[in-house]
Amino acid sequence: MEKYRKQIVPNPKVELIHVSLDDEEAEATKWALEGKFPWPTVLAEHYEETGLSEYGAFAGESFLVDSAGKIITKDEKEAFRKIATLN
Amino acid sequence: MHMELKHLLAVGMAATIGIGALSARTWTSADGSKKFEGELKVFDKDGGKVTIIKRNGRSMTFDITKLSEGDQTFLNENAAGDAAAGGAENVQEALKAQKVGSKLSKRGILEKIDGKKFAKYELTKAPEFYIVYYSASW
Repeated sequence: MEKYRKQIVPNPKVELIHVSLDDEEAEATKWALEGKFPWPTVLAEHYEETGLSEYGAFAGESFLVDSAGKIITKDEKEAFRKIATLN
Repeated sequence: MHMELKHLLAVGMAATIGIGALSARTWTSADGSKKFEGELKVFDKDGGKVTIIKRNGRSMTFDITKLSEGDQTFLNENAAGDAAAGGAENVQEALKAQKVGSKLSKRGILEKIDGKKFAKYELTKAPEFYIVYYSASW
């Protein structure tokens, strides 16, 4: 969460998109409230439309992709190292 | 000489006035044979495409390589940040030029917790990169 606030929010070159894999919005809402999620979220009903389902990701995974949809890295630490160079 | 002076004036004014005026300038073709005035609308750095609105209001989208080396340098060094940090309209236009952003910027796709529930949300920047984080309560 702190990484998000310090490294992503103020950086115009990167955004975090949270994809909720919960089928029910009520469950996704409860989960987001418990975690105090501050980020933009794609709920399950729109998951396919975003194209973000193409990566075949599982809950807990995070990918860094460019604006063309190309995966840069699936490693979170590497992703934040890359982000740090964007400022 | 006259065109060069106009070019310098445009750049000088942009530097003085700030981001909003940065995108209005005299553009030169790659071979230097054509010049035109226009305002930068969208610069898709990844796709190498630029959209410029000419003074007559006509919009043109073309490959960045059609522009002079100086214009290309200008775009790469300044305009990407301008598009990313520009107003809401510019952000939406820049998002539409992206493969990822065009889908995320469709109305109703994104939501954000507002109080005790999710509410519709629109991106406020057109980033070059996205961290996509997948999670579930189970």
